[in-house]
Amino acid sequence: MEHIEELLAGIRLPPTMQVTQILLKQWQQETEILEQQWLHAKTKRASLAKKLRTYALQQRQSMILAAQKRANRQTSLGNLPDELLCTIFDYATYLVHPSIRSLMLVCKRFHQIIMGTSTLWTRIDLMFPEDLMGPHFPTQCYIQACLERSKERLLDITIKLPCKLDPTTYQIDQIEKIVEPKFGRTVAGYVAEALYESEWQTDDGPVQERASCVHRLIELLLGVDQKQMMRWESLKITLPQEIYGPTTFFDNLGGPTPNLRRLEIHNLEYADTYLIDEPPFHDLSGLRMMTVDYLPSYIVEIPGLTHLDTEYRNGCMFSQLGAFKQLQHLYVRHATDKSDFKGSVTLPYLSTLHIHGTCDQVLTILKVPHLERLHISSAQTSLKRPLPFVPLIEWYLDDSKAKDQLAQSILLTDMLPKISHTSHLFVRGIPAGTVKNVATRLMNGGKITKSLKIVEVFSDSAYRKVCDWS
Amino acid sequence: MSITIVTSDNEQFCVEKLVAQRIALIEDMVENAGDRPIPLPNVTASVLRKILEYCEHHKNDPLPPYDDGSRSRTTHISEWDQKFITVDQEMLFEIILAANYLEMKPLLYVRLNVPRVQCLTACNAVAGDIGCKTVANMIKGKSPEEIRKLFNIVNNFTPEEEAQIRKEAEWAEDR
Repeated sequence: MEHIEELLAGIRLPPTMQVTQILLKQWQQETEILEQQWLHAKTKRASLAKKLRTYALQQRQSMILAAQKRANRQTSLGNLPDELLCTIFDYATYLVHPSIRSLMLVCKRFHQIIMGTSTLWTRIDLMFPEDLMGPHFPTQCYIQACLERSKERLLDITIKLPCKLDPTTYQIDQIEKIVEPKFGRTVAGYVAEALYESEWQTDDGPVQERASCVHRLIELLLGVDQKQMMRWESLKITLPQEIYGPTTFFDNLGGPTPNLRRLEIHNLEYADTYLIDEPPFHDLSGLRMMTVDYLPSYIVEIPGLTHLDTEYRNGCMFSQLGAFKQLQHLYVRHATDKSDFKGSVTLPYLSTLHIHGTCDQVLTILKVPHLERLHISSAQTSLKRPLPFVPLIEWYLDDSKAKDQLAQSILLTDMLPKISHTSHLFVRGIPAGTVKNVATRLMNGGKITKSLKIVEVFSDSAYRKVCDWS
Repeated sequence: MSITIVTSDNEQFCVEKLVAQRIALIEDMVENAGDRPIPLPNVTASVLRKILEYCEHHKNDPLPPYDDGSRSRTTHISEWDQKFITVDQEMLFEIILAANYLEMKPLLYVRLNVPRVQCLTACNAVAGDIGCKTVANMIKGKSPEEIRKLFNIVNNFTPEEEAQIRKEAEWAEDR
């Protein structure tokens, strides 16, 4: 056809109507042929694609079968029963609970187990980044997913609040950070002070949004009318190390918490100034275990408390301790020789006492008639008083200064004769040979109580018996 | 005093009664078996050897710190336990299964005659638990694909199902 057109163009004659009709007809035929070819190609392509999908499916199924056969031949993660997988998932998501998502996406069985096990959703980690504008911010959907999937079970909550939660404080802190390198700390301090005094307010949208988000997420955990607090079984809060930082958080903790069994608060001293007037948690009757940096005066009485872990702080803990008569287990951290407390405290039900630091003052003040186990983790190499009547003592010499053999021998020579009514002594941090030599020498010299029957020393990750006088 | 245990592959082990009593299942069987050997049809010799090695090493451990029943457990494993559990995957899972089947408990509770219920509830640091912690540590911080590869698990989700789950779990995306 093209050559007819070329021919016509060549003879320079105007194309007649007939020639145009012939050309149109020929082009129509050409179009029809091409359309048929196109349809054929399209059909062929669809058929080949279908065939390819079938091949892929067959290949995938054979791969699954092969892997299943392989898996059936040997014990693997997939062979473990559901309850053991749950234990593993629980450990695997410890500290980073949202990583449960990775496990859900591994295979159908993992997904089914995770979605069907409400206990795996009872732990909620609300870990905000230290910087309010930092990455990895928890989401509302995560809290909602946990609250729904835990199916009304009691909750185990961990909250770490960000620093500078108030938007204005956050912005002033940012300004200080910019000013300080150029003009020094003093000038930066003046600028901040001036901004506070002039009651400057930030209008930074993203910062305000982040701050609001923190409050929204906490409100979600509290629930409408603080009803979710009824489900709190364990609460661990890490407050920012700044005064007035977490005020708004504690403002909301007035709801009933009848199921709260464990409470752990870090950096509590930063919240002291306002908590003295408005103590949080009006009902702690169900509380059994508490870990706090120190015992503040506004925590007056928790009748059912059996476990307490707190710091010594010049003996200020003792003035509060008398209110916890039901205590069975006590951890005293950073104990020293100094004490502002005069007198003694009797804990009639205490069975386990852990002292970290210098133990003399604690042992002098505390009267523990039913103590069963005494654990001392200390760097001291001498004792000022006899050890209490207790069947089992674990002594951990915990300091690099006392690593020389002489210091260790001095400690043992001083400590062993001060034991009375103890049958089992565990020693850690001193070589087995040193313990054996000193203990045998003292026993032969009649300087150790006859009640001491067994001495074991920690070596190679386990306790080994070095003396057996039973 | 010792007792004889027979494994699934017919190997006999003569075990100190004090060590064997740490294994609740055996403790139950001892009462009924008298002097006869105790069969363990679900545990092979190689696995039982490992478990007894663990019991032997930890037989003098003092009572663990109070068990608060909380779930804030760490996944820390002591140096010896770490070496003990450094085995191939098949053995690791066999230990976990066997410890679970045998209901292991810390030996000192037996020594101090602590009631069994208390032993079982307070028991955390047993071979099986070390195994679970080890697997958990292997999983931590890994993507689904890495977990599949590590444990030879087949992804039996269709692409559509996988996309749906990813969508449902978007809350964890910014982690």
